[in-house]
Amino acid sequence: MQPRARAIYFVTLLTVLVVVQVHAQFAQLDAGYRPLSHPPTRVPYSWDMFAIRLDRCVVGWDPPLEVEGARVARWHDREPAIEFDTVFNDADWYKASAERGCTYRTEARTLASLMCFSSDGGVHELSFDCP
Amino acid sequence: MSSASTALDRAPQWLDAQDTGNALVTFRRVFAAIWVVYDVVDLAWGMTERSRIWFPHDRSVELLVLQAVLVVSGVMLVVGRFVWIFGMIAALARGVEAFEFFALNDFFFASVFYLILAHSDGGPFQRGTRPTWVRHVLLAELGWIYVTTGLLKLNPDWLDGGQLFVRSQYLWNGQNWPYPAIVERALSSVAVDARLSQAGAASEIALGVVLFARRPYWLAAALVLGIHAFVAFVTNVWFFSASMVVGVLILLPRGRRA
Repeated sequence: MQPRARAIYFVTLLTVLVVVQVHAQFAQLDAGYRPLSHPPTRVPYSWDMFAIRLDRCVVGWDPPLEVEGARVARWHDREPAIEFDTVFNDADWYKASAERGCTYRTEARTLASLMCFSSDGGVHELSFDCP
Repeated sequence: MSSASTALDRAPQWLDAQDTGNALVTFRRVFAAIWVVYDVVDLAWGMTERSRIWFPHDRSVELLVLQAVLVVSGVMLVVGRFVWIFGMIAALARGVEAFEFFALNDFFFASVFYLILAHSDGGPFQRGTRPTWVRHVLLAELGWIYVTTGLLKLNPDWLDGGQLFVRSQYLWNGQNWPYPAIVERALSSVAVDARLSQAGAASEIALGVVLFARRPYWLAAALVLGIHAFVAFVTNVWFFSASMVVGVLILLPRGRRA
């Protein structure tokens, strides 16, 4: 009995691993990924590390915000240097976060600034007065 | 006799085969230790919580409980007690963390590895053993990850260097990342990034193939060290990189194919 149960258990385990990960590749195709044409999107268990299209922005405020008692001139002032980072995949999210950060300003006139990098090699700079 | 029936005949022998040496146990301990460090840091300083929401807010009690479960499970995998139970708990907790709190590829990856490593002590049927199939499945999983991630990178965004440009410039400008000046100059060129990206995708696919073939060791070692040293220093991804490096270096047989 035990060898049969063990075989069933093993086949089930392997089937789960295979089905989940192969399904993830088909989900990528369904989401529009095409080799050499369209980049993939985020799909769990498809192993799309570094493969999806994204923007990254460096965010700052002048004069610095005050967040939980600390002066924050740049987004990364509240981030550790290694591994852990709060990131978004789209420049619009960074802009929205820069605006939201304005609620922690210490002076009425505060300038929020962004330097955004896009995967076409572009660098876009933007600044605005906190609303 | 057909090849299918031959494979079926061999399956019980393969399931019964025991791994000689300590590779499987060593990998389980090292892998679990890497992620215990990650989870202790995460639990103490709320890193995943901050990654989810940068602005001040109360920490999620559910996430705290999950992180505590992951620390305990990880420690049990390091010391080798109740490996199947705690491996399964760790796999489930990491999956919940990925699906419910923060959809990080590293978490999805760790959930799969915990699930497989839960059987490194024999699983529910053969406790106290070192089944060879677990090592083979781990190597196949590593191979699959490298092949698929390499294939998914075969798109213009990656191959034209845009991804590497974005990530390196973000680190340089946002965190004053300590690239040597010559490296920073090179990485700020999309043309250089494109060459590096193409080499990276090709290296990942090649490493995947080597892992499926389970040899040669020297080539796998060179590729995995090259890929992940680059990933760690250029893109600030450390724990996942360390996991992949130890996986290949420890699990891949050094001599004849296992």
